[in-house]
This record gives sequence, structure tokens and C-alpha cells, in this order.
Amino acid sequence: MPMVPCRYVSQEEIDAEVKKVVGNLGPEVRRVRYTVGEDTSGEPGIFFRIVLADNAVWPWEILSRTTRNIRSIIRDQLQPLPTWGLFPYFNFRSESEQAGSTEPEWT
Amino acid sequence: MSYHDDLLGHAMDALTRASPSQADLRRSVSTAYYALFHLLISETVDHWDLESSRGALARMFEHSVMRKVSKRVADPKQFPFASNDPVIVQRLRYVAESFAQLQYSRQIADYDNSIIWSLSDARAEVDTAVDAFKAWQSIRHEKIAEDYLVSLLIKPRD
Repeated sequence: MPMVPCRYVSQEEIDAEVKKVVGNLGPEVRRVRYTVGEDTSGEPGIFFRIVLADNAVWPWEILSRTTRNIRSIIRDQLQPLPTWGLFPYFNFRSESEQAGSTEPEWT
Repeated sequence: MSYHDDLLGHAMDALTRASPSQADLRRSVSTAYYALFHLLISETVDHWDLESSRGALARMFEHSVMRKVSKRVADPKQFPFASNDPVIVQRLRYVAESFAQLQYSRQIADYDNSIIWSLSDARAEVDTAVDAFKAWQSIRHEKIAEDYLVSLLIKPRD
């Protein structure tokens, strides 16, 4: 069970809430992985790793719009900071960039 | 052109090369953070009337204090801003969230060689800085934005 300052939360609770919000993302989102842990400053965070369809990352303007929308939906609907004290961090890759990757946190 | 605008331009330029290297992607992410860092410092010291001491004031900012303050401002539980225009509050929170995200990413980009950066990820980080610049421009004269600048110098009590 991850422990965050002043707030205790179960992995099951987070899983359920994340699953609900991920269901509201568009078809350009191919996969969402996340972990709860500490950031580089030792402060609690929730780390989203999001794989996008190739047609959602090019040209640059489309990627901008796509990532802005995804961050906004997750922040607004999940509210991990006020609810659990977890600051949300986001990383993105396209399907092509992810292909062949063996990094366990992304697969 | 101001230093922070110049830095943001550098961050974008590094990603427009034909095949950016890991060094290009990492420098771009790091530079995007420093662009926002210096924008906020520049905006703060501009309020200081005594021009000769602005440089000294600018050197008083600490990354960790700015991050902690930004995370608090981003949290509606700690800073509800209930009586303020929701659009202005949303933009301020965006700037604060972006600062914390970019600082984290800069640390990864600069120090964690086990992480492989993708072009999409580096672009998303630079976009975050670009959007934060735009959001800031639209609220920079608002009182809650000016209060945020001052708070960036004050270590929060844990």
C-alpha cells in the first residue's frame, strides 16, 4: 500500500479510478501504464506512461493538442493531487517509438 | 529577445533536426525547464524598483522552493482560489503544474542515463513550456499571478 503524507490509499482504489478515467480518453490513446512512487525529490507522485497512435503525434501541432487534452482529462477527472496527494507526471511515446522496447514499465 | 524566450527557442530548435540524438532530446527537455524557470524569475524581479539589485534578487531563487510552492498552488485543496476567476485560476495552476513537471523531467534528462527519451516525449515537454509561457502571458498582471511570483521566493512551512 503506497503511503502518502496525511493520506492512505490502496492500490485497488487508484486502479479503479484510473481505469474509469482512461476509459474516457480517445482512440488515439493506445495504452496507459502508471506507477505510484516518489519523484526525484522524494515527493509522492503518480507517473503516467502513455502510448499514442502514430497519427496522433505528427505533425507537432497534433501532438501538442493530443497531449494537452490527455493531461487535462486525467488531471481534471482523476484529481490525484487533491484526492491522494500524488502529483501527476506524464510521459508520452508513439506506437512506432514504443515498438521493440523491452522497458517493463512501458509494456 | 529576452533570455527566457531565447532558451525556449533553443529547446524547440534542437527537436527540428533531421534525426535528433539522445543528447539533443535531453538538452531540449532541460532547456525547456530553464526557459520557464528564468521567465518566472524575470517576471518577479521586474517588480523590484531598484534596478541595480535585480541581479542579486534573481540569484535568491531556489529550484526546490519554487517546486514546492508550485505544487501547492496546483492543489485546489491547499489553494482553492474560490473567489477568483476560474479561467485565471486554471491558467495559474497550469503554469505551476508545468513548472513541477518540467523540473522533474529536467532532472531525469540531465542525470538519469537509463531513461531513453523519445522524440514525442521531448516534444511534449517543450510543448508544456510553450503552453505555460502562453498561459503566463495571459495572467501576468493578475493579482494571484503576482502573489505566486512572490511566493516562489518564500520557503513553505512543511
